[in-house]
Amino acid sequence: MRKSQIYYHRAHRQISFSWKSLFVEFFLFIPFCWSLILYTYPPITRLASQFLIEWNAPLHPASTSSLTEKAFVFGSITTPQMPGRYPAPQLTFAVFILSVLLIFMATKIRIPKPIAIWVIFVCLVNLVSVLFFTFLPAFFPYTIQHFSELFMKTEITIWLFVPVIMEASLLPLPSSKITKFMAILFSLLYAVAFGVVRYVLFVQILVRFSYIFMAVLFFCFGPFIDFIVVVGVYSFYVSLVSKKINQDLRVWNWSY
Amino acid sequence: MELVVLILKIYLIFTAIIMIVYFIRHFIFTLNRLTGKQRIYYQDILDSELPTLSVFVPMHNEEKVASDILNRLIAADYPRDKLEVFPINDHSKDKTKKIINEFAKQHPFIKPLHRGKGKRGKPAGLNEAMKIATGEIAIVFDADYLPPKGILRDMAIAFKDPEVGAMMGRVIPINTPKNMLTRLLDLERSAGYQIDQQARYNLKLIPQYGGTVGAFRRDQFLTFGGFDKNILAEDTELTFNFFIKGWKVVYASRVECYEEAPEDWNTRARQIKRWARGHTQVMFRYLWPMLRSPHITTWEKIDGVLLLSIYAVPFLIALGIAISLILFFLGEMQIFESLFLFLLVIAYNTFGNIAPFNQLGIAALIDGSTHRIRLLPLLFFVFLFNLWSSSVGFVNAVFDLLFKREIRWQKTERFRDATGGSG
Repeated sequence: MRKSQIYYHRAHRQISFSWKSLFVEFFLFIPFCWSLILYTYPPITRLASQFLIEWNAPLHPASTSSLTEKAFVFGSITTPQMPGRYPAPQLTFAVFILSVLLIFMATKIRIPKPIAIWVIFVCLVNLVSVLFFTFLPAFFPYTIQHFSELFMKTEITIWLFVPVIMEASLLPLPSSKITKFMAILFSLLYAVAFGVVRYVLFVQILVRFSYIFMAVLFFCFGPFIDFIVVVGVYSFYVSLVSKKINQDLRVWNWSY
Repeated sequence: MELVVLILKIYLIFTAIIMIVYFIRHFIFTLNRLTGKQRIYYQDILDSELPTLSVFVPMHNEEKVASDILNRLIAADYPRDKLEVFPINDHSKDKTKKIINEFAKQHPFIKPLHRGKGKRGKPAGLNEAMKIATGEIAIVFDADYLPPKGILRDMAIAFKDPEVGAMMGRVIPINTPKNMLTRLLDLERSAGYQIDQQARYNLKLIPQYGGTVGAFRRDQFLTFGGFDKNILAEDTELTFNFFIKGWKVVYASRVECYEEAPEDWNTRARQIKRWARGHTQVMFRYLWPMLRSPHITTWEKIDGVLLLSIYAVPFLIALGIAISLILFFLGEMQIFESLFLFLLVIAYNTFGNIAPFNQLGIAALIDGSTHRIRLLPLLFFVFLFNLWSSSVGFVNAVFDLLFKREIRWQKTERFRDATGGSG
């Protein structure tokens, strides 16, 4: 069969690229994204903390709850100060049993190994927490305010980092600048929304259930999973670019 | 106690710096392959004076795949008078011996080597076969590979360059659509060859001979004293042996060969553990000789250190996570308020996710694997799986070093049915 068009072999194709353009775009857009984050994070943390205090007002009267403000990068971070809940011995025991059971099931039941390892990781972190609250509860170093501060500072740093890594990854691609910037902004906004929603949810769990889940929330569902969203946006965008340019000989060059 | 906390924090900073170094390396490689000047292979050279070849196919219980690869080698367009094929039947208990003998009866250039005594394993089998072979160039294929008709000529032509000691082709999984694991492995292979190997070749660093779809000078190999039977990564060992002695290893992206990727997670875990263990064994043995070699440039040495240490990094990260947990319960996470927060978060989230992801995404873009790119977020789960498997392999290598343990070779399970189809 005759081919109407012979495309470049995958071993020998590449794209044209301008370092100058990349640097200009990178250093123009980064200050914009960072200004946006630095300008908005103080009111975001304030609103989230106020919301948490109001939501928990039926549990904790105004005399036991307040807002604390602390200086952070070019601004201040607001965190709620309210009582959390130490685990009752029954809960500690239940978490212990459940974690051991889940580890056992993850090793015995036929599920994909990566998911089994993830389940085991979550359960092991929970078991460390169980051990701590069984033997050293008086030494637990965190309050709701401490956790809020730790979590939100980590999140804000991730927000600052998202545009850097997304720009470094997307700017060299052969696609329009507008769509690239939209993808970067979208991933940033999603990261902020995802971070705030998780923060509110995590604090609620610590206030209403127990501090015993603090470690697992921070280590397994905190900063660790933030970049799934970023990678998701990245992969979706790159797949669209790939679909568009795959057979476009104006985009690809022969590598030698 | 304060001293312990300080040491733990210093360890985390050390880990973070290492991960950032690897992030930069990944990023440079990706940009180089996508946009930089590409170094070409020798496939466009036409020469009728080809070297004599000895093709080795190590086999241990390979009845599912033995016929396929031998049929492909029979169909190869390489001059018959310059070709010999050694199927190495290594202690097989299935029909491998019978299959090989039937082929040998009909094709005199197929010369079976049946091993029933001595240490089992790819290095031991190859050592024995290399001694009875006569070809100038040795080519190795794993038994599940399906070499195309012209591949031997493309591989052999590199050795017209007197500086080339070994060459490596590109591996492409043939069973990619089988399941989620094979699709993800296709992404990983794509990044490993399309970007990592090609960029290292472009930048005159250390492209790696990968143990299959690779060729090397047999006489030089024999001067190295053969493969160490106790090393599980004979390919990495050979790469560094050639570089240390002043030879070059070249990469040929156009020289593609199909393989069968593992189709279940347990097989994949065993494969990673074996690679990590073998690679780390080579690190212990060859790091210092490589650094001292007068034949290796400074950039090659830097790349060599990063390449040899690559399976140590997952262990360092795993240890870092454990230390972070300790610091968390000690209430020492306020380190996050300093610059350290930035370093650690970048490190954890880039090495663990973005750096390889960017490389995988661009590799799939160049390959034109549009739909596969959307699977990238799923690799988050594979990150923990790889972390665990590599760490186990690394720890095993440390114990091998400390206790001089005897190594047992583990064969990768095959999934193809006897008729040639996958699974």
